[in-house]
Amino acid sequence: MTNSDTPAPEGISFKTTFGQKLLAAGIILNLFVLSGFIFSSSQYAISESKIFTSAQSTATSIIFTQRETLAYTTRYAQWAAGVFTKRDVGIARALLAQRLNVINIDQTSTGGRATADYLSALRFSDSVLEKAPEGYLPSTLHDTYNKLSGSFIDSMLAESRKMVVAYQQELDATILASAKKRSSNTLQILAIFLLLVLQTSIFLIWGGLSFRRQYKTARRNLKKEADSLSIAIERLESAESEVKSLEELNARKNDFISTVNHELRTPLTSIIGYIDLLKEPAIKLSAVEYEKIISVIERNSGVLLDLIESILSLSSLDAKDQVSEYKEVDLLTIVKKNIFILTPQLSQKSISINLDEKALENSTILGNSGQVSLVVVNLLSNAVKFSPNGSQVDVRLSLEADGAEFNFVRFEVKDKGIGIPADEIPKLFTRFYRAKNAVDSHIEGTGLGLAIVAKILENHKAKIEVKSEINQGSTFVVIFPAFLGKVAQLISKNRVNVLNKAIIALRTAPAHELAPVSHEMGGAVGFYDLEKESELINEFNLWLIKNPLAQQEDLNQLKENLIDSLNHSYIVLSGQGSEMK
Amino acid sequence: MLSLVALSVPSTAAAESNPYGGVAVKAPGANETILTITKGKVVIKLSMKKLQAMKSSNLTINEPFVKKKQSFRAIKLSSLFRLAGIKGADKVETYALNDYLYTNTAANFISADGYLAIARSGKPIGYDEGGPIRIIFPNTSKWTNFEDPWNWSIKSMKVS
Repeated sequence: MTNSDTPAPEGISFKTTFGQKLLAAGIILNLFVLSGFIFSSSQYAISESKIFTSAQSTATSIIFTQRETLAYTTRYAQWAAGVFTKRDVGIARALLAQRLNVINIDQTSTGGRATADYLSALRFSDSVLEKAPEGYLPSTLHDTYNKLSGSFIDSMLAESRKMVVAYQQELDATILASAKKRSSNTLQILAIFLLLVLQTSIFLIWGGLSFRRQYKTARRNLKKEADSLSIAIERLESAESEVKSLEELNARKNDFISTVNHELRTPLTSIIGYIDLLKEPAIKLSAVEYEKIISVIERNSGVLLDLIESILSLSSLDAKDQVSEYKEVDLLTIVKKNIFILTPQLSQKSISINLDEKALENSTILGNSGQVSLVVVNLLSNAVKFSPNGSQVDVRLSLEADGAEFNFVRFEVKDKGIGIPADEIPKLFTRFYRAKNAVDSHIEGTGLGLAIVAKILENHKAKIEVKSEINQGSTFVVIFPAFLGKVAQLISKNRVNVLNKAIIALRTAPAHELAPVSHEMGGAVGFYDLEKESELINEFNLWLIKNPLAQQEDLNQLKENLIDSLNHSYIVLSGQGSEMK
Repeated sequence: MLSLVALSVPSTAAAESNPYGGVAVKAPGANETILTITKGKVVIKLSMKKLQAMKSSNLTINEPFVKKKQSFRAIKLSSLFRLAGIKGADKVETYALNDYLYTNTAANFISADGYLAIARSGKPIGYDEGGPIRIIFPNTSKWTNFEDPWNWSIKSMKVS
């Protein structure tokens, strides 16, 4: 597996589109425009402030002009009536001139706002006054000057009022124009503001949706990345585990080689030593000594051969996948054959083997006959090896049911040997391990037999159990999955259902139908290899036939007894009670 | 007497005429009362001659009505108030020839550094220029742009 097998995670980043950037630029531009309009608005406010300040000044001047005009014309009329002197009128006229000469904030003089008729009347009054005599007017001239004054006074007063009205109109127009500008400016501000709100809303919604989409993509990418990382971590862990297991394997291999080396060297050293002894011409051996040496060499050669065969067997088991070679094997036949093979050893130690196969209905298993034979011979030869002379080894073969469907073939070997210490039992199946009491008792062995057994049983999905008691003996129990033919499998699968149906049928059948029902159910149950149950039902059926007028109480009692027995069988077979209690 | 006044101020000052002026009005006589100051029973009558005899200063100010820089010879109002025994807390009513009235305390007039102008550009102030006497304030005054106290053609001051 290379790095290229792991998909590279996509980059995680949040981006803005060209449209969003354009919109943002539009918002900024409009903010500038809005700022401009708001600045204009402030300028309009300043301008209006100036208008009102100017208006206050100008209006004051105009009002005072009107007042001075009234004062002048009044004084003029009084002069014409002989009340005041010409100088008094002149002073009033001078004060009016002073007012007309006032320059207002708008840099225009008050007199500049006077109408032409006003100024014309004023000049006319001046010309009249110019020609008049100094001091008080003589009574003879009163009428004349009254008439003269009357010709312009009304005009002056009317024109002075026009000044006020004209200024009022001018002021109104100015204020109106300013108000219009301000209104227009306000509308522009409002329009720009609304545009800004619209743009900002679009930007926010668009941006929000866009970022939400990008956020989801980012999350997906992160998840992908996390998944990739998980895969990488798993691979790393797997690689670590593989390395560890290879290291363990290497260590085991080294241990194995070391142990094998030791185990091979021991008999070989003995053999070589004795051969050297035989080759030494200086040493004279007696016939007895010679025979003894040969015997030792022969025994050690045998040990060496056993050892090599065992090692080869284990190597073969380690190297091959044996499952494809499994076939139907009859365990009983193999056991019997191996007991026969062991006959010399049995005779040598006067040991008998008691084979119990009564509980065996079927001893067919799926496996490799050679390997299964190796298991049997190892266990049997161990039992013989560790059993005292003249003792008996019990071998038992039986069929076991686990619930309703699975059957197992049980192979049990029980000896009366030295036993195995309890703390050493778990180590028995380790290669080259030998129980301490076996070594102490100088019982020969390679320490590979049970390792071979364990490996073969592992390949056959079989189990092994060991029970032992020091100086009382050991029992090795091997449990193989039984191989059932198609019919046997069908029977095994359906027998519990059939038994349950029989119980229900017997329990629910009316009294007058019990005979035919029990007849039918007895046959059906028998067909499914439930012989004991079939016999019970058939006995009940015979009783019914023989006692057609039986008391109801007796009938019920017998029926209940039968159902109880059948229920018991059902519980044993299925591990549960029947559907109808 | 008019010629005496003219001699007492710089003759180089340019005469400025009011474009809206009418018939020429003769200036008041030198001994003619042109300002009456009244506080209770104390009545001070001042002619141009008496005013010219009082201590005065030359002021150049920005005249707020014709919007021009003008030079005046003027007497401090505080001098005139002292003359009539007017105290700071007294409310002083100033009347113009056309009966325009402006009232404030003597203290405010004094703090505003008020003056009574008696000549402009070395010449008597014409009636059509706010003369012959008028109240003015220097450019540094707090009332330099507050036009109401600038009473033209003033004729009397009265403590109410």
